[in-house]
Amino acid sequence: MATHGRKAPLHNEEMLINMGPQHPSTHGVLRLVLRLRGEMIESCRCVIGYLHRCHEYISERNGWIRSLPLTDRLDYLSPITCEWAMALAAERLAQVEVPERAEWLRVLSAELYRIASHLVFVGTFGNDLAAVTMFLHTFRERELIMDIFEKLTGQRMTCHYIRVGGVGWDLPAGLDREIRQALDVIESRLREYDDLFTNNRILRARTEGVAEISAERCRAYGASGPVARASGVDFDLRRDAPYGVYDRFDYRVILGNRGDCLDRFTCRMEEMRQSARICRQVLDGLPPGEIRTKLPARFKTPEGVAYGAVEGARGECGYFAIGDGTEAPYRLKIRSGGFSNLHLIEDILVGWKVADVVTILGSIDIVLGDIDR
Amino acid sequence: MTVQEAAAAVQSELSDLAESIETRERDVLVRCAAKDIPQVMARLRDGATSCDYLTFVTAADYPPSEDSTGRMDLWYHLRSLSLRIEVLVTASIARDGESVRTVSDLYPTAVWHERECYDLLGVVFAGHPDLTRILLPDDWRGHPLRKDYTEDMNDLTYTTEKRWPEMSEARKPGG
Repeated sequence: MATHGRKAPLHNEEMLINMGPQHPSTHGVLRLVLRLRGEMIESCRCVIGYLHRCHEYISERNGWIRSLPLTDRLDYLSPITCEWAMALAAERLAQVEVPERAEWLRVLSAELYRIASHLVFVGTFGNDLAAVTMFLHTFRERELIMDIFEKLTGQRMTCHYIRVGGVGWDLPAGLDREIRQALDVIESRLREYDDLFTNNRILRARTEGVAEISAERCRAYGASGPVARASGVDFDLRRDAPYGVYDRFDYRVILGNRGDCLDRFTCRMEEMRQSARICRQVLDGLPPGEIRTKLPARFKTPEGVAYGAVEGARGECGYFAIGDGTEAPYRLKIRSGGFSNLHLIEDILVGWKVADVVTILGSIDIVLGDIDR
Repeated sequence: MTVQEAAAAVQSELSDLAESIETRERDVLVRCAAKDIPQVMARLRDGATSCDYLTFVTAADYPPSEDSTGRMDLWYHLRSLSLRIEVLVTASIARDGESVRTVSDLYPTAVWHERECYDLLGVVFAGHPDLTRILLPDDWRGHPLRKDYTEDMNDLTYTTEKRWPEMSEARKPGG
């Protein structure tokens, strides 16, 4: 007699699913090997390295000045971060003074790009959750910042703005007014995003309480940036390991309390508002003066070790350099925030359903260029 | 906590293990023997310094020269997120044949960082749960960030003929 499948025992066998490397929701070329039982994830293994471009190898041969533009290709959604970290490592190693105005312009460019990067996150996270409208809206606003960077540096993304000892170009006349206008527009649109996403019942249901990460686990796995702060890890390099002139500005370090996907989203939304606040303070108090220290024709770093780390849009971006008296670092190690944040995925995906993978991965906000280096 | 206070705390924790403790502008630099690495890290984590955050693990290769036999320097960067201090720990091992004990049981983040260090520099971490290549393909030969690595160690001219000989047969005219 036919059982119509009802009385047959439920199939509950193990299955190995390969997600990526070519998958629209892995934000680049990332491969996840998921071991499933039914719909539940039993273990996950990340396979990375598809975008490895030997940055450390190239930098150790090309030297400081010639490999600085390459850093833009690491975290291509917030290139200022990597530029600044590399310049910082070189400056700390060679004891280079940076003029006051250059420090302020660095803060301005970094915070503008933080907004641009978080806008991409908000858009792609919405896109991952099938709220495609978000993607279209945030890319419209991001374009305002891209226009500003085109006027400031001539490039939209790979801008090579920060140099060892300063910045590449001064603020063109009239751009400060344009930046203020862009910030006004973006801030008003952030309220729209809240209506579209943060207060949207469907999207809340898919993110609230999903993949809660404890603060201890964040620390153990070396997570940083908004991922760690959403879990309540009260650490921000801008405030706690100061670099540049961040101590002059008034802003809040945003913390979440649950550490779920929604917290990681709202943390970044709030960080954009804080970044806009910092940008306005820079424009109000930008001091006059030089924008770059004159370096010797052959810039060399002395023997020693130095570590320069900045708070990027995806966590701690640091360059660890060992100098040997030549124009190139003897050893240059790039520590990217995304690398450690992605490691966390292997742990937190366990116990969630396949349908949540895209949500959780999206909430970590990875850029594979940054992870694979 | 200032760097001076951090150095004092590190000194009291590691007085018997550290070979030298140097107070630098932003961090404290600790030199120790490679065999003591797990113990040093455990004390820095659980002691008064409470370095609960491992930022990265890396190494630097010094090939043999006229006046030295060569060595591999290991570098560990630790932070205390609560006290806001940074500690750099360094130790030397032989370039080949000597391994260092993993710290992945103390800091899970070290699993990936040590894999990367093995992949690019060939440092072997004893007791590591999964010491495989992470950034380079599994069949890669050599460790590129070693100073004696040469680019001809790997044949990078991937042609269809080399990769799939049977396909090149099929593509011959009239084949």
